[in-house]
Amino acid sequence: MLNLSGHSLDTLTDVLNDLPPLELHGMHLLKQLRPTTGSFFPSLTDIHRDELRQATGELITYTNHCHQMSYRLSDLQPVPITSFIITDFGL
Amino acid sequence: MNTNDYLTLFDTLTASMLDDPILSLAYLATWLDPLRVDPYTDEFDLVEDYYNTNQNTLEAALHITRDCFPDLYADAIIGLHSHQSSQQVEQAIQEGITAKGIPMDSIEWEGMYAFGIPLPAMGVDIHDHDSLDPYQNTYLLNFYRLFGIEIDIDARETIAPTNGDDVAFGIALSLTPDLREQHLIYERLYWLLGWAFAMTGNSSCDYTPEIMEQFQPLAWEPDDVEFAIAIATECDEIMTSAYQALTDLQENESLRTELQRNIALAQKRLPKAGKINHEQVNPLGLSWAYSN
Repeated sequence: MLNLSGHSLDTLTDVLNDLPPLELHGMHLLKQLRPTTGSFFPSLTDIHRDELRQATGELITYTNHCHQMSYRLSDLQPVPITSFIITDFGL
Repeated sequence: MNTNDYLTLFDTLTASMLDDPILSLAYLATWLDPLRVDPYTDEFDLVEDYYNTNQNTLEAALHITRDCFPDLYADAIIGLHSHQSSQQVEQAIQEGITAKGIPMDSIEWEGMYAFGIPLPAMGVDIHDHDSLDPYQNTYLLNFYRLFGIEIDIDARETIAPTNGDDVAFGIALSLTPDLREQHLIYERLYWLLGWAFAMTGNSSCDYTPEIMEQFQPLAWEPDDVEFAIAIATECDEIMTSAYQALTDLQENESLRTELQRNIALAQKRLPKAGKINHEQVNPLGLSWAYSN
């Protein structure tokens, strides 16, 4: 079994699966105010400005985190796995 | 396809999109954070992409607000969705940043956002008559006169003793923290001395516009914005005190007499050579009516 820092792959999968889904306030607004027929975006006139500011700030923070995380993942160094042999591709 | 078919298709597509988490997120980002879906957002450079290229002021303002003032960015997005013009949205951003303490109204030229964060420059210099011009009709010139400094702004002339700064410094050090805390009139006088002789330690209070122009402005980064707002806010507080102190001196004869007495004493007691020891409390041994 693949072992990373003492944790099995199953453990890591369980941890990731147990993470609660992130509730973005903007998602609630989008579903609540879904666009009316013929308009691409929902109307903003019925939303309290502070509520929209909060939702926008939260979305910016969230997408920035995602963006930074994607950069970090792309910079990961390859990890040589010596204990796992893929016989199908043996040279 | 007739209109009804089109509208039905539209509703079906919208419903499908909102049911899919990833499409919903993309939809949400397009709605509330359109710069996120611009592939060049993270590489946007105020000098390269704005000043040297298209000078799209609204685009620059949106990038700055997205990074540093998310609430103003949200307001701008509302404005754009409400079909306000680019000029209206950009003007609202400028006013919003100014309301937070950064004087955007002090820079009004093309490419201005690339300049960096503008800071107030309220400093005065007895030899820089342009810096004194705004105070020509205030009590400031009379205040300098108490120190033997004669300024004629129209003639661009200043006659000043060589030790004016040291006298002011010695007097400021005699206004101890305890005294200032107990008597606000001395607190205000302390800040007037600091502003008039450029020794407050706050760049916006101490630097004249001419000197401030020689410094590289802070960048539009969240930490620098926070720092700039702190400087501007402190400057505002100091200037409020200093202006009030000018009124105190103009209206309160006993305070004026007291200050004059201490100026005369300070001129006598100044070290013949070397500088005042600024770490010593009241190094010239001056006293005030309410000193303990």
